Amino acid sequence: MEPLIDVRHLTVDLRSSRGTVRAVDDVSFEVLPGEALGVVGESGSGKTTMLRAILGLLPVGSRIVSGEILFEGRDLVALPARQLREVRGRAIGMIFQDPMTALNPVMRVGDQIAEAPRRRLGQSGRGSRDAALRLMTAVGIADPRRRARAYPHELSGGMRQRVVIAMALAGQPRLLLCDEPTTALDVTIQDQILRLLSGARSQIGAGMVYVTHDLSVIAQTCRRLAVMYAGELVEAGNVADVFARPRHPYTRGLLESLPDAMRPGQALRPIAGAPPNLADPPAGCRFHPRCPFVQADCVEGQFPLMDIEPGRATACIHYDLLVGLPNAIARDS
Amino acid sequence: MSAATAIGLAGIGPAPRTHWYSRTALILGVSLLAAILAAAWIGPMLMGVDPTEQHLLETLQGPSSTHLLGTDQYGRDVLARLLVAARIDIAVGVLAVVTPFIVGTLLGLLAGYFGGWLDLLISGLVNLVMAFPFYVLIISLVFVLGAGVQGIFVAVALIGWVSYARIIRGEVMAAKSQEYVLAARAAGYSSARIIGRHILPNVITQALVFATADIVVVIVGIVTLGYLGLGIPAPTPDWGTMIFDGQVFITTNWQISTIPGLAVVITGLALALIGDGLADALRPD
Amino acid sequence: MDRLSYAGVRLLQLIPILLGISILVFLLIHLIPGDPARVLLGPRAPEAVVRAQDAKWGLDQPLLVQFARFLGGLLRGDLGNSLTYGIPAVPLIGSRIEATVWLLVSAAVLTLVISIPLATLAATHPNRLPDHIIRIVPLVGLGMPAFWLGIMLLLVFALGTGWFPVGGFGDTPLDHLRSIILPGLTVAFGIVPITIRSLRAAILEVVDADYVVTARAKGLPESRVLTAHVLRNAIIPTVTVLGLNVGWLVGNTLVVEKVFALPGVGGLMIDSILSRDFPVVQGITLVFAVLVVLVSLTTDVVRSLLDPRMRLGR
Repeated sequence: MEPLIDVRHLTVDLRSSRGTVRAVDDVSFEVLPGEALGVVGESGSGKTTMLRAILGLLPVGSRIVSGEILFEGRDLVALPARQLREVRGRAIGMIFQDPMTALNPVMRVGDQIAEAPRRRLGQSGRGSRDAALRLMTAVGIADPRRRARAYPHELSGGMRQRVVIAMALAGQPRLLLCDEPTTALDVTIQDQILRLLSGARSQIGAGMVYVTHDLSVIAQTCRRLAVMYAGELVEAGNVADVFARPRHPYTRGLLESLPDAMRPGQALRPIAGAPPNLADPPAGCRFHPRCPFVQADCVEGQFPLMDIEPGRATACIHYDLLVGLPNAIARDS
Repeated sequence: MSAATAIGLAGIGPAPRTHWYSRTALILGVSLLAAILAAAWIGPMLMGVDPTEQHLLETLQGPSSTHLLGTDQYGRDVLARLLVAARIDIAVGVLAVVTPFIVGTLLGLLAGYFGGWLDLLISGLVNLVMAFPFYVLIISLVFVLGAGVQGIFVAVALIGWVSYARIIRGEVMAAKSQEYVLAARAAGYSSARIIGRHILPNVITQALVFATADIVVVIVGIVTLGYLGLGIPAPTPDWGTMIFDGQVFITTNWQISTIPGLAVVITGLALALIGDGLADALRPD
Repeated sequence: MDRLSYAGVRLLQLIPILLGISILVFLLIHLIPGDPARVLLGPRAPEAVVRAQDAKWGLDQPLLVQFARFLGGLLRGDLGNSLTYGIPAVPLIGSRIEATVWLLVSAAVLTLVISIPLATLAATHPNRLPDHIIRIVPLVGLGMPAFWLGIMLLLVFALGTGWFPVGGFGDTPLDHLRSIILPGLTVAFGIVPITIRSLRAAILEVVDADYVVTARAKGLPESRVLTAHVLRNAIIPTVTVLGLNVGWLVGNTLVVEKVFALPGVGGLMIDSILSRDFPVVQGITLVFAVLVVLVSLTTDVVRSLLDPRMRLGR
């Protein structure tokens, strides 16, 4: 099957107060139509930048240095601005992390949902308004007619995120890009939103790239996952498989650091050390200063993703050290 | 432009400027100002011309080799008058700002640091003063005190302190919760010492930047008063009176009215560049 | 607090402000050396005549009595009679308000018309040529005396090209329009540096906001992103800045009216000070104070209209 989106060797430079930083370094992955791929990483790993780069929404001064982003066969990187705009909102929808800042504070939410269909797709005022109301019902907002006239600050966090989701779905996209949409929400609401997302997605048959730092969320929503560290992809594979048999020390560390609901009171085991400064990354494997399995040859050279089995890849040349270790997530079952 | 307006110019919002801008602005501003000051204080001596001396046989001449900018209706050399006027107008500008700077900073420090009723009192005063149009007060004061610089000095002192108070108060309130202040208080230093030695040096920079704009505002003020006939009395040259005098002859000797105004603009530009460069250089990045 | 009651409260606050200002002005005026009767009658009039005139005007009474009369009159809406013209001050001032209002409104409109496109241009090309050029505007504008700018504009556009009249107000509304452009521009140029700077900074802040990225992610044309999202939000702090500077805006009309010989309240003010016409000076000062408070109130209300997050009142 032709991939819905095929990212090849994407490299993105960010401009920061400390100079130019390579936020995304030679990242490649693909998503099939209707499939959900999770991208896991700590903050600063470059995952948000990568997502933004797909739609060309990088901040001023940052740019895609090299690589291709093939969406339905067309390279988005090479696309002229006007055509890229047509892809946005229509074929690819984006859901942002913080619904409070993602919504225009001075515009009614109903108008914001209806805006894209109205301005871009040329729907009439009435038609787009009705469509917006229908979308609001679909995302679970009660009393849509009244809610549509509200301003973002008048709604609760969960409600706002539903609005953001409705906005993304308004163009009937074939691919959804999600940037940690539940991070800013209460845990109780998170679950509802995730369910909503999954449901909406399967209804319109859209593929999804879901970026987060929260492994447990990935487990709920995605079938495949990729792990990102310091701008590079370090592991990829099926969620179940990666959880049960991680093939990169960082992944393993992430899994180990998950609090175990089955054994409350047990000490947390975070990964030692801190993520590297991307302006001055460590030589060799970027994880090696924190790696419990580090070897002599880890400190020099490049370590791109390598396939170890069909559908499974890792960047760690010593992944065999992880084979056979007890399950990282201690579960009774 | 009022002092309150100049607040708008001093450091509004973040601007993505690179470092070369602040350096260029500072260098340009300082050089320009130095050139103006040099011209004002040394120029007339070099020219050897008395700006108040009337030559009634040489009135209203155009620019020539003896009179670079021509003569006015009393035959006085326009260039000489221009340069001497610079001395007065600039000096008044700088001196007039000293009092409001000190008073405003002091009140701002007190209001910001101690808060409570002191803050309420001072802020209330600030609001009352801000409702009063600057030029109305100046013109009225000029009649109480007579034409001349006294009016400007008093008016600026009465109204100008407000902006400094507001700026300093804001900075102090922000600084109050900074670590170095908390540390000083934990160490048991007296309020006076904390304010004087620790907070003041850090917050004064914003007030200084504002002062550069304020000086320009005062210069414009005295020039405007001169135009209205309420400023420095003749025969002392003043840019404002020169512009007024020249208005009548605008169709034939337009330079008499135009050049002094340009002088004000250029002086303002120099000071604004300095203020801008300072603000940029001192902005914590 | 809803808008109507907020407006009501603010207007009520006018009273103590007006009281404070009228006391200040009264004291100020009566400290002015120089006797209005003397000014009117000339330096050669005999002392007795001057004193009789003073008595006629009630100027020989003790200050407190005069102040009490003034306050009493104020409550009745009577500011006394102009010493120069002999007619009641209130209608005198009223007859001159029209020109001043025209000036203020045209200045406000011109300010917006000039500032918004320039600030947008500068902010959308940060640190490039248009930005640098536009950034010079506040630097030059700070030191530019309004009256001088007015004279220059007159020189070039009225005397030079004859497009506009050389001062005066004209009789028909069309005349008014033609006459008010140059003075309006002069006043506007005083504020334009502030608004450009403030708007430019606000746009630069907003442009990085998440909701702007959202708008682009929706595939909206850049023009729509700019108007409905960027400008719509960036204009809010600028309105605040405008409101803060209103006192200056109103005061500046004084000088501009003189330069362009506009029959406005400002010109009347200057003349009244020169002729020691106390009642008129007091009256106009109060009018200015009221104007400033009203405009400040209007800006607050406008801001609350633009920004649904703002709560009026405490």
